[in-house]
Amino acid sequence: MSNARINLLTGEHLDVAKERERIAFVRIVSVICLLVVLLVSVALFLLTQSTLSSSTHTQEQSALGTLKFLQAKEVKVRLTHDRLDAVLSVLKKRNNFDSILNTVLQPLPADVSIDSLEVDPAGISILASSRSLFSLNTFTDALTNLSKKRKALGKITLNNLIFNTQSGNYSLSLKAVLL
Amino acid sequence: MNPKTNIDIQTLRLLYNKYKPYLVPVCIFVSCVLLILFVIMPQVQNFLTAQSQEAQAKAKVTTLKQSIAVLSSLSDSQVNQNFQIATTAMPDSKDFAGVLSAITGAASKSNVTLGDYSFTPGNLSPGKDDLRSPTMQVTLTVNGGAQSATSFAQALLHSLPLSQINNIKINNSQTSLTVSFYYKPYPPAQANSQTAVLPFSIADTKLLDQLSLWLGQSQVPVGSSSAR
Repeated sequence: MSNARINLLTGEHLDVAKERERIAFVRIVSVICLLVVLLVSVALFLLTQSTLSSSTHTQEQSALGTLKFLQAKEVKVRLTHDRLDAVLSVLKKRNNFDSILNTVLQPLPADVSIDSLEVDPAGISILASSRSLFSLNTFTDALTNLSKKRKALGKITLNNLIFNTQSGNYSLSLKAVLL
Repeated sequence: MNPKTNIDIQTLRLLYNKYKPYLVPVCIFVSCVLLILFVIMPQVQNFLTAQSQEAQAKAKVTTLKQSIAVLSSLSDSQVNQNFQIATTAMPDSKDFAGVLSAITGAASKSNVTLGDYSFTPGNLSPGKDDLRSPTMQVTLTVNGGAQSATSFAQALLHSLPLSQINNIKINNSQTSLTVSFYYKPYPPAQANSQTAVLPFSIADTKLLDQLSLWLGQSQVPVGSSSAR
């Protein structure tokens, strides 16, 4: 038989002992609770204080002070960046009519003259004339080649080809879509 | 019907005597709950706010230090020169003198004579409605055929302020062009510590070099033009 099974107390005394044990337990737990709450509160207060009083604020003030002397320079650099962004976006989207005209006029035979030419973002209209039908054909072929190679020009429409009996000139009117 | 409960002082005393040992711990528990609700919870919130403020402040300090490093690495003359080039390319307002200079410079460079020209300046009062890249339209006539028009267009597109040709009409030996000259009002506040000042990238430097070249080509005094 083990010693733990030996009980010399009567039933009434056993209840009182249990009650005392329970009270002691509740007291200890309540005190521990209070201590924990107090410790957590103090720890949180100290942590908040240490966060607020860190050197970051001083560093920020010092950096702002330094930057104040460089403010004019800063504004100029920021404005330059702002302008450069705008310039870049304009250069990306603007029409390069000079290169289109160069491309279109490069294969122009010497005896073909441009009577009228209109270019806008929608397309290019050309009215060319020459005494030689062969030269006009050469010019048209060159433009058609550009269109085939998808170089500057897209779809080309030949509007009309007129022969003026009085002047002996051939006139060619065509329209092309810009790429 | 609710039965009436009669508690007399003796019963209360009996209850008090029975539960007396528990009174203090219960009071402590209640105090703990109150402390958690009214002291610790606000403290936790304060702590979190302080942490977030600290993180923001650290990020700001980093940004400021980056800006200082970038600005210190740039010389005043370089900054001024870049600013000058950029604002000539994209002025903050309708730059009539700059536009005239660009037109006459292009005419002089391409050996064409200028005919009539008209400005369509539009709204002259500064407005905050369009901060992107508004334009000022100019319609002008150049005496010359297709080749002259091409070289004039080329010269104009390679001069400052930046422009875009909207339409070219060549009729025998006269060419009329509709050109839009760009400008961009300054944004309201430039000194901004929230974003770091960026250094000029290689692409920026290349663009500035190109603009500088165009600036050199387009700088012709208005009086010495070939304008009629």
